[in-house]
Amino acid sequence: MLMNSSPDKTHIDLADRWANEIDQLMLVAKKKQARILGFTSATAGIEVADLCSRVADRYARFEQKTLLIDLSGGREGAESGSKSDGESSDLGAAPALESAKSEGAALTRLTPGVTDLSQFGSAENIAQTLAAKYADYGKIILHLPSMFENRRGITSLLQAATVCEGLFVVCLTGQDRRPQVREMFASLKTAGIKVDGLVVKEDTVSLLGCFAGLFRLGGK
Amino acid sequence: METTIFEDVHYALEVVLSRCKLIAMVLAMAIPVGLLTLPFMTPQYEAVALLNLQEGELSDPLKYEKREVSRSKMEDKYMVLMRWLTSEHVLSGYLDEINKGQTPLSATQRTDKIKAIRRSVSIEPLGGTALEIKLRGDEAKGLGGKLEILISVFLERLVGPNRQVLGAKQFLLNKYKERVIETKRTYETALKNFGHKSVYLLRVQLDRLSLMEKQLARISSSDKAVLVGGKKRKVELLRQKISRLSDEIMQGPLQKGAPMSTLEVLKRKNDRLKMARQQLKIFSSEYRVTGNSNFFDLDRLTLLGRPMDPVYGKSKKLKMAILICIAFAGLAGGLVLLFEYLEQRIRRSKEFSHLGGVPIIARFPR
Repeated sequence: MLMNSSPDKTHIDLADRWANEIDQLMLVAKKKQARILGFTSATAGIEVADLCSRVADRYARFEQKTLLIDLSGGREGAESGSKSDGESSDLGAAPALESAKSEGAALTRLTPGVTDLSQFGSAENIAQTLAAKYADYGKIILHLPSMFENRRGITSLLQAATVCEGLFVVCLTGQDRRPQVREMFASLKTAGIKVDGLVVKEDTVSLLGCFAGLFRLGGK
Repeated sequence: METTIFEDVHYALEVVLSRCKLIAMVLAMAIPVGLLTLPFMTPQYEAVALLNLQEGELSDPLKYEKREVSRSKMEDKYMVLMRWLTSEHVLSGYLDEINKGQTPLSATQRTDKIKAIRRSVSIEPLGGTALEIKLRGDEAKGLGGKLEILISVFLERLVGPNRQVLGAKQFLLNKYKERVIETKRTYETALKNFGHKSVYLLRVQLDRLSLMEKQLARISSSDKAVLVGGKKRKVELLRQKISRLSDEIMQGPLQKGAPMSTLEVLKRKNDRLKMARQQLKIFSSEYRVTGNSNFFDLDRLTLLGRPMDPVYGKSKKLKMAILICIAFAGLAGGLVLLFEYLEQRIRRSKEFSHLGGVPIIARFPR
């Protein structure tokens, strides 16, 4: 599935505003010399796809050939407002490569589809696929599905996570619950996967927003 | 995880503010509850005056010898003063003053009014030697004036003719003397008016007779002697004395045409005298003047603050409304924090780092 991304002005503005934060992320990846970066979260709906897109955009701006692979099954992309053309393809399948379309100079977006991770079978298969077919990409950004989105998919997620040379967990304040977060870190630790850093999305509450909410409530 | 107090407060505020709907709901409940309670509340105003307990002469305020008064002594004093202030004679005097020129009140109305005034008056120690006298009322207008009247009546009852505060015992003795003199005067007037000096003696005889008859009634037929006033008396002699006394009475002023009404009047006066004595006893025991006779001998009372009508009265309604609002706000805040605790959502970035043992690399506002 190809992502038709034509960044509008607002998107670019936001990207610029968050550039420092993303640069910090890139710095950590650089220190680790990580080529494959994975992003996951405990629960769905945290807009991990959006973050992955921004990171990939940032890499592409530095003229680095970047591949963004959405392994979340498209749910995150749909939630975050990305448009899809309805096509789906497997990561390991040949048609996927052919359908992958370059955006601008360096960024390629690839959304394998819902039946994604389970088809790889093992971590070795993923690693082999990425090494063999996408060897010419300088950076590969993997948008991994959230851990508690599908219980049966945990094993596949963990296998995919082992492939990542840099793994980042995206959290959202005000949504993630303690038991889930605790369980997620415990599972990753058990699988021997090291998390390189946390990316926190802060669900800030402004006083003005609260009053606006009260006003709206009164208006109903 | 180390957090500063500021962060904690900010976090708690953030949590509370994030539940706008819940807070709005609880506050929406507070409004009808507040409105429902309003009709049951009456506004109340307070007039306040300051009374100072000092040592020295009242006549020369410059010669006051100020001395530290111990807390316990002060408490004793204000308790006693409170009893004095709310005593029957002070309050009835005050009631007479404020009802001057109006239709006199019935006994029941008077008792009710005195009870109401008693409830609305209070004395509180302010520290040092100052006492605060408060009078509460339903309306602000004229409340200060009423308090002034009350205090002046109160002080008048304590201050003697030479404008010095008397000791409590002295005050009571004077009052007793006044009553005795008044009673004697009444007797004299009664005797003068009716012209039968022997009527008084007759009354005494009647009393003695009735006493004896009572004693006699207690004596059984087998008894030959009886104790009268600690002395043994023969029953036979007692009987003879009684018959003699009754004979004297029968041949006395009654037979001479003394009107029965005179006797009744005298009896009533005598009863009043007895009552006065009884009251004195009760009064003494109530105010503990017998054990501490010079309680006020050295201490003096000065009115420091002149009572004024409250410009902005302390409205009980307003206070209650504020209390209700605070209670509901507290309830709302408590509920929100309880829900937050039960829900286990993470609201602080640092907590993620703490749970995972992983550093935070980037923070994005959502």
